[in-house]
Amino acid sequence: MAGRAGALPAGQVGLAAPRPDTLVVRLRAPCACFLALTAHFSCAPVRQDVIAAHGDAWTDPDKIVGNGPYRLALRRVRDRVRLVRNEQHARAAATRLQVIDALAIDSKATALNLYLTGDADWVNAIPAAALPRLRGRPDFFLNTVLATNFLRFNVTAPPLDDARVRRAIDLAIDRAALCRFVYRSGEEPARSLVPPSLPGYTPAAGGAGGCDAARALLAEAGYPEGRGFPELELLHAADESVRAVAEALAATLQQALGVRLRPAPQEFKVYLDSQKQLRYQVCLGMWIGDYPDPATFLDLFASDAGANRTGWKSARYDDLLRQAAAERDAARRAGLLREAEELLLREGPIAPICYRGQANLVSPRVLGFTTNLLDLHPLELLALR
Amino acid sequence: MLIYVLRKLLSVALLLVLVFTGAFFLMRLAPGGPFDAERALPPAIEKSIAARFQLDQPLLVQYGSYLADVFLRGDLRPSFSYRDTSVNQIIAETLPRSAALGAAALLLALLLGVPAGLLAAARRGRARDLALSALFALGLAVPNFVLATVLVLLFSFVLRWCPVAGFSSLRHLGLPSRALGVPLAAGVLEALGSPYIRTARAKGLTPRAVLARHALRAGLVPVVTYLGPAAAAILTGSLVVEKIFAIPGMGSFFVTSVMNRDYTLAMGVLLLYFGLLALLNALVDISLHLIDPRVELR
Repeated sequence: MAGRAGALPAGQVGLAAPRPDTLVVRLRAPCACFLALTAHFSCAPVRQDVIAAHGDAWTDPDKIVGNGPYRLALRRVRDRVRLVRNEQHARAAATRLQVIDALAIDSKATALNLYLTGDADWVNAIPAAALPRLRGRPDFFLNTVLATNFLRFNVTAPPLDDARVRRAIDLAIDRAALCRFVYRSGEEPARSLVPPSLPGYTPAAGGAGGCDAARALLAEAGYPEGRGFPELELLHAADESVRAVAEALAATLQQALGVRLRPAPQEFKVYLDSQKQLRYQVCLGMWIGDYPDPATFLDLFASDAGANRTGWKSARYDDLLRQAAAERDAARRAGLLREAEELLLREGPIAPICYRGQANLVSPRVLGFTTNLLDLHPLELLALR
Repeated sequence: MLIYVLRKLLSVALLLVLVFTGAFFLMRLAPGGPFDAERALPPAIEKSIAARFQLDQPLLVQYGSYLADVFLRGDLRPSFSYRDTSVNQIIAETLPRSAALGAAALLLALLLGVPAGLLAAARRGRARDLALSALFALGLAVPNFVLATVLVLLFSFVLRWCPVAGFSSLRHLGLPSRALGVPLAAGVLEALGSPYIRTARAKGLTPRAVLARHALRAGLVPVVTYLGPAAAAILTGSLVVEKIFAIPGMGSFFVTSVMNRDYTLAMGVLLLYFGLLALLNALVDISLHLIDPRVELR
């Protein structure tokens, strides 16, 4: 978009507002997921005149102007955000809850305690250790969401520049065991980058074969039974649960392939920086989809994508993504994206591990709560018994 | 006395400038910046953010203008993580909550620790002394998050006397002030087990005389010395206790602001803590001089 960074004068950008309640957007090429994209919170409108008049203070409760079913009543740093029904909203009459307090709780254990003592009606940050005891309760919800954990390979240096080595590692991961014994938060084993249950899209299936095929590939690449394979560093964020995954992964790969991976935890900002600078060999990563379309995942590994961080470039992959972006027919577009995903899983710099799960504990007195892939819960649809 | 106070104020100011300088350069040495995220920002947006927060200027220029803002105008600038709020505002909101909790804990520590310490000192060697000492040694040894968890289990879930977390009423202070106050009380008890008391008893004074004449006055010296710096830490909030009880104080900022590379918030809480520590130490010196005029003010 040349309109970014003021490269085009405002009049030439394809936006127009012919009436107070109508926004017209003219696109240069068809964009199948346009409505899904614009529904994302980053496209919520803000009042330019309010920002210009108040500067940094424009988000104060008495100054901020929004168009949602709730308005901001108060905001206390590290304590809570209080939402009050917006009586001027079109659906105000149908919105049952008048006041909602969103509590900022640091500790998952404290959040659970608040729920169990009745001081909170809905929590979504639950300690993994508590999940097994909560399953089966009628107020407990667990569903797979639009997010995938995967291994990232830095393909700019040997031995990971050889696709066979990457595929061997990919095939040797015991996903079912990791989900069942290490993650334990509702994850599902993943053989694709894009999670399933996106309407109109069937994700590509990863390579077939288990440890035997993995060992054969590794031998073909010149490291029979892992002999001669250098020790690799497995970068991950210094979080307790992530550390457990890294150690389990290293252990199973050692057992299956004879390759040694050394877990290397780094503080989160340093971990991000290391990825950006390609100062790693293998790293644990994840991506949460922003909108319900496969492109939100597949765009990650375009050659010039900022979040690529693997050094992998494929002209064919970029071309497939470009074709898909301009394709009007939904079925043909899905086919192109699938082909791109197959290419990514076959030759690319990732090994998917699992799709993430999201747990919610919701008090029985709350009505209208449902689960979905994006874990979105419109507040105006909720009510109390 | 006046000269002492003036000299102290000057040295505190100098200390703060030194802390400011050290922290400024050390923080920027660490890899990673405040705006690093999983999602890469478009270069144009990165540039405009850098310009707004003056991160694109030479380091010494940044240092100079920040120094002037903080020490000449008292402006700690906007926080990098709460970008629409100034650090002044954040501290103004969160410090009173941490301080309220801290004050409650200090009060508890004094109410528990001083009588217990004096009793133990007066009856040295007896069963009561040993029992109290053992109890409070436990209080010192048990980490405050373990104590907090036990308190929550007992008083919130089993007895249902106290709310489990939050800061909406005075009742909410009950458990966290105990979690903080008991280890403090143990420290006070420790401080009171001093040689003064033993000497007084050895001189043949009755326990009551020991308490009234000697213990209280002389025993206050180590208590005040201990509580001064401890108060600075307690009043600016305990990260662990605030996290467990969801107290919206400033304790967590000491760790999270550094992890998030929130340079301005980290600087703000650091300066506040050192300033408070230096002032309380000065108060301790003055108090000691008042309690025992033989202590010189230097």
